[in-house]
Amino acid sequence: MIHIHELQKTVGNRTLFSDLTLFLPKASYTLLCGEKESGKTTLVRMLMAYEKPDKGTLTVDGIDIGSIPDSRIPYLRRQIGFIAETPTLLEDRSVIENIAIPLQLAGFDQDVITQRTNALLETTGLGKETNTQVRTLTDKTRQLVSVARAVIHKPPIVVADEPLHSLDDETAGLIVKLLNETNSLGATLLITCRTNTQLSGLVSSNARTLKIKAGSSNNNEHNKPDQEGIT
Amino acid sequence: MNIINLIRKVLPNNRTAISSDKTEHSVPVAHYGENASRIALIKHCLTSLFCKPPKITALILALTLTIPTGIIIVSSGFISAEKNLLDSRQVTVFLTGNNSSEASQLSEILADSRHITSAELRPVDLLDKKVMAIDIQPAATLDRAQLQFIVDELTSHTSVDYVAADQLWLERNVEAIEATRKLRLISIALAALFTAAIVYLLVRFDLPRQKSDHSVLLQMGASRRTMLKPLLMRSILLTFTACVIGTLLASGIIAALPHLVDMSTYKEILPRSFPVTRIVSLIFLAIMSGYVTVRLLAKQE
Repeated sequence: MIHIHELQKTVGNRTLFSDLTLFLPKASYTLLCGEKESGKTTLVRMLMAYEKPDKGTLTVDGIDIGSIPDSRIPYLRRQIGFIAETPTLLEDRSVIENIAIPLQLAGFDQDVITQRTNALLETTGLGKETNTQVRTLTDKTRQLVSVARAVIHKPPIVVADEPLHSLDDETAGLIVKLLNETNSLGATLLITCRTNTQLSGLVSSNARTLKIKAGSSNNNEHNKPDQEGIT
Repeated sequence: MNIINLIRKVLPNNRTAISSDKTEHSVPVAHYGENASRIALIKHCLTSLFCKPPKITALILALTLTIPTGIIIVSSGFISAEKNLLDSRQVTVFLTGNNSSEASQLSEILADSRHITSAELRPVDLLDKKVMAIDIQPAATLDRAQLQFIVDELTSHTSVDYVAADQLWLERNVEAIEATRKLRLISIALAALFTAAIVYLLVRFDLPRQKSDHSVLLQMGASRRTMLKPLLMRSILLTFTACVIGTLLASGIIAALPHLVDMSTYKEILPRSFPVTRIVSLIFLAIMSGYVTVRLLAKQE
């Protein structure tokens, strides 16, 4: 599903990846752990086609990110459910409107949108906040909205960039459960984290952990993901 | 309840799984996306423009309102000035005798000439005798040499006694008319530029406000076209509304002003009636300016 081959990426004068090779098969569950500024978010941004690799190839569902035309980017992004560390929501809209965005963009019927959105509101316990404007919500509720929005259209890939950062255990548990179930339904899941402490015991048993070390300037050896760290 | 069952309810082929006794919250129809409703788009744009407009939008709206009044008054002033100048470009031909039939024949010949706009015959009571005179209005396109040629031709005519034409005055009038026409064109061009600048500023200031929403939608897979639609609609609605309100305001001012000020001063500047066709053209111009501006901006963004 996601194939990274000899990927190189430099930001400023800092080499993040010099020879990164990874393969995330369909319906796989991967935790990518690494310190701050180790390149996790840059990798996620490349998956979303916000950035392009300097060298090497990065393909998502057969689409080469390095050569993707601008007109194809929206279609690629609709294939990926994205959860950011800090939720990015439409602030002056309600919870239900935010959750429904991917379905509306994809052109689903209004009936289907209503049905799916209501089901997910119930699942996530957001039912009582349905018509609340998201700017008035707490951080953990915002993140729940963000997760619900990322999975509502059943994307084949879900990418979460440190989704549990500064969340309490209860909310983290609910979010990871939601992600586990999405994976069990066939989605390829990539979660980035600083340490897997918070995730251990929550993630699915088939999850594998890859460790990516913080990179130092022009030191390629330190930037290779620790493949031995797979659990 | 098992979470996997709940997730499965979300699947499209499992619609009946939702319990009918639960309250179903309706999702407002979106103004973006493949099946976006045009009514929802217009409603969204109207709400964001007029129900909760940012200060800069209100300011720009107010400025836009002044355009129709300004352009009509300026344009009418120039038209009036040009008419006055044209009227004063008069050549008077004094005939030798008092033969009215011969005079009217000559007057008709002159009136038919393409170089002459009008020729009016009138009797003139001089101190010692009565003669016939023809007041000629030369065509506005004539230059100095052509005017001189016509004066010479008339002077050489057997039935003409004297041709009264102040060459310097005529020449100055020609220059003044040319200048007035140029100024009128410049004022209309400036009004168009002003309109375009206003729309550009509006969109420019409005874009950052929308930027966070745009980045969220782009992240979700919205296309550039999806982003562009509300912008185009907003700019069209804004310019249209502003121009319509401005038109009403302008007609109100023009109707009310004679009652408020001494019209002997302003009667040459203010139009007597409100030119609807010109205003419709202006609205069209404003809308097109907005449309082109947004398209150009969208390319930059």
